Amino acid sequence: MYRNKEEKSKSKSKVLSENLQIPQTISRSTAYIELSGNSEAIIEGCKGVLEYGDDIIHLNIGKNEVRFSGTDLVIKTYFNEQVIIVGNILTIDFS
Amino acid sequence: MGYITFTASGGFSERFINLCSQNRVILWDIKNIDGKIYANTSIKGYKKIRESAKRSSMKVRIYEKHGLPFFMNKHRGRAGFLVGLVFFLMIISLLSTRIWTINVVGNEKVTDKQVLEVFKDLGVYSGARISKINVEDVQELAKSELGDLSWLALNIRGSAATIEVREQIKKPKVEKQNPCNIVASYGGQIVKLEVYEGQVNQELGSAVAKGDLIISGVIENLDGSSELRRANGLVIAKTDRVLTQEQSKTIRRKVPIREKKRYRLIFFGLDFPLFWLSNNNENAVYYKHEHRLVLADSILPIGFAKEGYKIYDEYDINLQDDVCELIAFSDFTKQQKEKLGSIEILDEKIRIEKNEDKCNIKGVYVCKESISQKQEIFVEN
Repeated sequence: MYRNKEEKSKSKSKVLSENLQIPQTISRSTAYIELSGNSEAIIEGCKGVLEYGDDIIHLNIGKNEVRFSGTDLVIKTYFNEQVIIVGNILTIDFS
Repeated sequence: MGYITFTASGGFSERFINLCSQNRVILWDIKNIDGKIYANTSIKGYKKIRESAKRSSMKVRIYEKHGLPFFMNKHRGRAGFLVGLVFFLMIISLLSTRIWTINVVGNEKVTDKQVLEVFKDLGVYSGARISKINVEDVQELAKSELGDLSWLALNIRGSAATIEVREQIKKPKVEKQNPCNIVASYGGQIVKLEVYEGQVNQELGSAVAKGDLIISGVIENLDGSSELRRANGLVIAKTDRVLTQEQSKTIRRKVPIREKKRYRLIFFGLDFPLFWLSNNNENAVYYKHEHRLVLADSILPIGFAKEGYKIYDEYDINLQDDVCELIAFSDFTKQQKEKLGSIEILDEKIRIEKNEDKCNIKGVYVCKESISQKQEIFVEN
């Protein structure tokens, strides 16, 4: 049984996207991450910044968390749940 | 229009960034240097940032201000500067609506001046308002005015106009094929005679006067009938020619004795004088020279003109013998080049005579030249 309405609608959209074979990012329940080499990362669906330094940027992306580590990391923009990170990205960890 | 670079320090930097995002404050270039946040935001955003800073215990300071609003605010006390700036912007916006340069390309026989004059009458000139020019109408009218063109286009890019033209290739003149005779264009002794068409009327070595028939276009057949042809042939004759040149030792010369001048400013079709200029002398000669600024081979509609009146006095000059001879000889050489330039000269005798008043040069030439001249045969129907 679904615990609340939101969870129920999320699950429905997941089932729908799976059946129709369309990307899950359309339902906006999943974060979308785009990388340009290791110098730029675009994250859509960011719920908040958990940790911010020039060698580590830790973001909340809903169900998961993502940690970018590297050197000279800078948040280029943060607006409307979209974050652009630039710098020398060395590792990306999900937890 | 403007943005602020600020620093935030002392509290929870991550919470501060999240709160800014929640309050829909746009932040960009967020850097964390030694625990201090450096970021950019709009002026409106900076006003909303205080609440986020308070809730995250951050101290916010303006680091740098960028953009026109700050620049204007800084210079608000300087009325002259602002007036100048506004005036400058107005001039720039005004000038960008005008034609600065006009180039004509593709013309060979029709001169730039001819083309530009026609376009000027149609309202396309340096300083003309671009919005008032109807390109299609101007092209149509200009083409009908400049009849020798097969194609014409007016291209206006920014403030530069280019007039591209293609000239008509005129059909070659076809020689008339009416029957004709060949007569002597100059008196002399025939040294070469080649008949291509017609009946020869003179022999090699015979002397002819101007207008004598050499090759006839009337051919008599064996049965007594005659037919008309277009006579054709080569007639080379030895001719005698005489050239004379006379130069008086007293010549009348115009010498400028006084000059009144002034400068005019040319600015986008406007041409206004900078000083007063008057003239009461009827014999004064008016002149005007324009000087335009040139930028990368384009003549700009900005410059100055020098205009004025020159008052001349006429008086006689007595030339020395050698100067008189030199002038006479120079004119004689010019005449020789003009009249005998294309003729082979076999022999020449030049005599110079000088007396008290003048210097005479006489040249006697023996030449070898073509004397054939076509003369049409008029047939009454």
